[in-house]
Amino acid sequence: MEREVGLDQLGDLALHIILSKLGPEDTVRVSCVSRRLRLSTSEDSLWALFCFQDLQLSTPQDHQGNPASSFKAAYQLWREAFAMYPWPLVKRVKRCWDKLKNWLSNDFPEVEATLRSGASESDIQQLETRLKVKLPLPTRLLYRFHDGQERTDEGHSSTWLGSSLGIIGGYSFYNHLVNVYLLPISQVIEGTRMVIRHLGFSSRSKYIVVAASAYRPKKFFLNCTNGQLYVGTSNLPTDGEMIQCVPNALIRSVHDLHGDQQQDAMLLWLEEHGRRLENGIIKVCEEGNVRSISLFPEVPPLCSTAVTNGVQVIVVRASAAFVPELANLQDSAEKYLFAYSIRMSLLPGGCIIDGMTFSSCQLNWRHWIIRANEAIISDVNGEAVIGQFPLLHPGEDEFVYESCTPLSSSSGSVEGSFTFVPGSSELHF
Amino acid sequence: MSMAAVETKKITLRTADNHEFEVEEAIAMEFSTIKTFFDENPDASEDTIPLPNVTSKCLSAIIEYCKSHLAFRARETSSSIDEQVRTYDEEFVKARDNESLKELILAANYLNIKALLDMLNQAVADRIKNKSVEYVRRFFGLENDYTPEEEAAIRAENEWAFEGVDPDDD
Repeated sequence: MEREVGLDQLGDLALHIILSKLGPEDTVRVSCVSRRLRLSTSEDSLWALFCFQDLQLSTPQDHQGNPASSFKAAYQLWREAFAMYPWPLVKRVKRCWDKLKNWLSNDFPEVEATLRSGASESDIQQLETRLKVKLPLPTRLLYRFHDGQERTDEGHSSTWLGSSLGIIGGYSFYNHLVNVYLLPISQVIEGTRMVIRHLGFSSRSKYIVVAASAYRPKKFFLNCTNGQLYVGTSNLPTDGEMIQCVPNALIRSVHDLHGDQQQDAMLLWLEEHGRRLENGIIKVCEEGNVRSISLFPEVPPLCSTAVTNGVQVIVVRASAAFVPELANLQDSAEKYLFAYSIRMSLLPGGCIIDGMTFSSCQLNWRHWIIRANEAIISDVNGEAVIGQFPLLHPGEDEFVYESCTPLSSSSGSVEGSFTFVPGSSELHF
Repeated sequence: MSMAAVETKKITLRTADNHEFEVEEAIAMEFSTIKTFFDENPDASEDTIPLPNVTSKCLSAIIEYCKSHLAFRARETSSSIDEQVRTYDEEFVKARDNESLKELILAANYLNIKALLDMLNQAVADRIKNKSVEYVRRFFGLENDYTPEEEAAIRAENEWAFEGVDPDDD
């Protein structure tokens, strides 16, 4: 006996499970089948699931954060707002921004506050018309979520100092201070026009300025044709020299609406930056009263730690950062510049030597060997570091100093040792 | 050396079409409906349990499923066991037509066998994923009770949901 099993008999529970496994697009199609099914597809718990799975939303809201009447309505609004983009790419770009914003809200809310709300399609259209470029798809989406950062010079007495709230962050050594911002579209247009005028770029070039440093000049360019990101070297003003930022092999389908897994350098760059922040590889640092994101890594393997052998326990941490804006690709000996940051601290627990108690120690001597690849290019043995003899007290904040070294190759190493004396080097008689 | 025969407890089930099935207790306990019944009526184990909502065809398939999964679970977990479970589940649904799939869902729902129900629901989802509205209509045996305008309105409101649909090939 053939029994036709109608949908009514399947039961609401089974149907609900089937719809949740089908996903949002198929659920809408099922709602077209008949009125009875439409009821089942309208259950908001189903759409709450889809909103959470696709967009990590736990309350119903549209893409600008305005509350929506239901999860079903919210999901609809999001799909309509981004109808011109491949949905998997929209989800991916949202996750990229969410990761950055989660970290910022915990560790650096002042920077989160600088993120401007998303650009509209017509804002982006304006940029494309004025600069005669076509933005790669992932970058367009990045701007749809946030139109760069608001630059504020509040709280700083000298306007030339700018601000330290760049989301990309930076470093400082000697008098070279860098802190990189994501530019809003208005500044992308202005900055690119300036570059074309002053640096002699062809007005038909497809490069646009997307990120720049307050303080010392450091500029990042997006090539709109191939989706690659570049940073200007010291020869940028004279020769337009740039270094590429992301491995070419990773860039894909940047203008192809129907491509699979589109990714351009801007998206990859921000995803990687978010990953490093989330994993604590780079952190917020404070110098004076100014907080900023420091690009000197803080954890192994990119940060080395050494502990002294001796009566007092001194911890030294060291890491390096590549400084592309001071690179000079035309000089064979000093092609690349690396900055490094050394951090020292004395652990509590004084020591007793010959009946005298010492609770501090002072740096006395340092020995450095610098290698480019494996070849030694510098072997320095001498007193002090950057002309100082830091005096360490237990439990104090780390003593930090930065320096730099040019290298002829893009990889190298700095190896060294410090010698400390207990107490201080001014001996009491 | 002969092994002493172990008396495994058997439960008798009677289907809608009056067939009786004797199953080992362990398998009957996989049916949460039956397990609950025995938890509340511990003296009832000698009785025959009537299952007015389950045909013999369905019950024998379900018994096979539970027997196999019990055997899988008795072995140590490993990725090769997971692979075998996956293959077994795939084979279990592959040969069945849409009607028998739906009947099995009803039976698994009535007997409250969570894992089987989930697996069958996934199989149905897989069969209608990316299919056209017409295809889904035929699958569920439903009449279209929308006016053409109403249906067109739903489609227009949700354009994003109608891209990339598989062509109907049956």
